[in-house]
Amino acid sequence: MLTALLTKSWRDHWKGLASWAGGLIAIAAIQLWVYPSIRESSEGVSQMIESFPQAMQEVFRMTDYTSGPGFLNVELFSFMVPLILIAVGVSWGAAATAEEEHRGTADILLTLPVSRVRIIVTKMIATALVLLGLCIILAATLIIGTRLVNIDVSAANLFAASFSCALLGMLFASLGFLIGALVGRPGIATGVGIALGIAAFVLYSLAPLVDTFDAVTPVNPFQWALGGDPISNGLALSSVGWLAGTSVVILAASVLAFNRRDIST
Amino acid sequence: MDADGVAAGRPSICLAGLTKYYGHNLGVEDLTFDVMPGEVFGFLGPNGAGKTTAIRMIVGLLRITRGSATVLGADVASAPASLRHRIGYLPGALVLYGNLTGGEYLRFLARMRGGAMTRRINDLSERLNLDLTRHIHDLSKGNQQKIGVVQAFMHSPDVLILDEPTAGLDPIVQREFEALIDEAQQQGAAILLSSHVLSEVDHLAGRVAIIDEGHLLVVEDIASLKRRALRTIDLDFPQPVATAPFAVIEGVTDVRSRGSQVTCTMTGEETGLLRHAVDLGVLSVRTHEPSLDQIFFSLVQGGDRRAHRPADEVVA
Ligand SMILES: Nc1ncnc2c1ncn2[C@@H]1O[C@H](COP(=O)(O)OP(=O)(O)OP(=O)(O)O)[C@@H](O)[C@H]1O
Ligand SMILES: [Mg+2]
Repeated sequence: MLTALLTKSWRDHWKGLASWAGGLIAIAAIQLWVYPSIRESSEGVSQMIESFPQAMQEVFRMTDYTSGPGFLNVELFSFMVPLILIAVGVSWGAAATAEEEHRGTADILLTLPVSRVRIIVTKMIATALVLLGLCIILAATLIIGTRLVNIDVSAANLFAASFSCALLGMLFASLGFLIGALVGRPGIATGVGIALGIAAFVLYSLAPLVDTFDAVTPVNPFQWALGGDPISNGLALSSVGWLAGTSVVILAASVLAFNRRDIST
Repeated sequence: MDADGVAAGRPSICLAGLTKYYGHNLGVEDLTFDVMPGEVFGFLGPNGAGKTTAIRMIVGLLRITRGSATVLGADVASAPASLRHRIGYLPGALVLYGNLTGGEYLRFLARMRGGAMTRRINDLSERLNLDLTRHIHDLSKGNQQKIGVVQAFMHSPDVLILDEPTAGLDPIVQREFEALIDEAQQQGAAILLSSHVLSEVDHLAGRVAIIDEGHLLVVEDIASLKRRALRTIDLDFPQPVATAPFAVIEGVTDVRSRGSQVTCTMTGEETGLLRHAVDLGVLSVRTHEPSLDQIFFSLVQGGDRRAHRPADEVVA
């Protein structure tokens, strides 16, 4: 029964997903293509970076920029990849809980002999699979690409960095589910979810400069995902635990909220 | 019939004090009526009366504020999802997945219901003259409504809950739809049919509930309701006749004449009026179906109306 719903999800969204996947492959490929020239002029680049204000170096975490992993960290994993995966996750979460109600298709879907809990959990699984799929595609691109341009970084660590971002995406996806289940408006759920993602990103980025921001860093999901520098150090169990645990709690709350919700048109 | 629900004498749908508030706004209050197996039950009321609100509580889309709704013996607030194997529901505001074809959509629903139902889907689509190969967003409103009808009937449910089912259907399809209702009724299904047009449920339903502003006005046999209802009757005579004698006939509330035609407004039995007309050599008699408005008006006049709303507000 639920395979019918998964199949339908895939059918509805594979084109959109293909373009996200293509986008991830493209930005990874471009950075990998640029990197050799950075490496060749590494002295000059290092001097240039040292000439940047200290604050800017800290915000963009540019120490170690000319090493392969450091470069990928700055160019991919500190901004582009997390935000793309957050955007995909939030929009899937919001769509799952709020879109069908808002459009009116929920009337028939939710009066089928399948409980709301099973339907929403199936959609959560679909979202997790989507993020996992994008993470694998990105990691595969990077693993192949780094081999081609001779960047010395292990496949495991590239996967670790991608997977951390996918978990980060899943955490914000769960917020999309929750807000969608509470307000029933896909636009609001997507907007608020992405705004929260950007706010967390800004807090995390400016934390080295602003003490009050730094105070919340321990509970900032970006810190959980990226603070341990997964591309250099691999996956830390604690960061996976925090990201996954928080997601599960928020997802459970969204199941409860969705199950109680008045579906109106 | 089978043990769990469709037993003769036990209602298939049972509303007891069913109440819904949207925040502080009233949706419906204190609805109480039963629909029996094999019964077509009309659910009437003007726009905003609360028909859809009540129906959405019965099918589990809205949470019940107070009171209860029982379907096939199970309280809908706590019933397992499997109860809905036996319910067919056609939403009032039907929205389908536009990117699918009709066939794909119905097959998706069948799979979600745990079966294929291919024969039944094809059979129903043929009867309703529905093209299953076209994308839903390319279909007209009426053709989309046909898909809604098919999905409500395709699993041969014991309870059918239909919210303004004939919206957008042409007369030929409407006839076929009525045949489907008849068949379901014959097989013992309980059918709740909402509408704001009396004529639509007229020849299908036995009993009706009428609600207005969230409150039940009456639950009654359609025939006796119509007898009580205010309606207009046109009488054609060979030559102009005096109107005064008509006005004193029992049940007649208003008489007008134009040339040799007399138009009476009346409630109750028509016997007295017809006798007088025949005495005058009446050529033809045309009774205009009482509209729902007129029935409301009669209900108000009959004093059944809830006291808080003055009658002139209804007329206006
Ligand atoms: N989601 C909602 N939030 C607040 N009020 C609502 C909501 N849905 C319906 N109502 C109110 O509940 C009342 C009953 O509406 P409902 O849609 O049940 O009427 P209806 O009898 O189905 O009307 P129609 O014939 O137009 O379909 C109306 O006053 C309506 O404004
Ligand atoms: Mg309605």
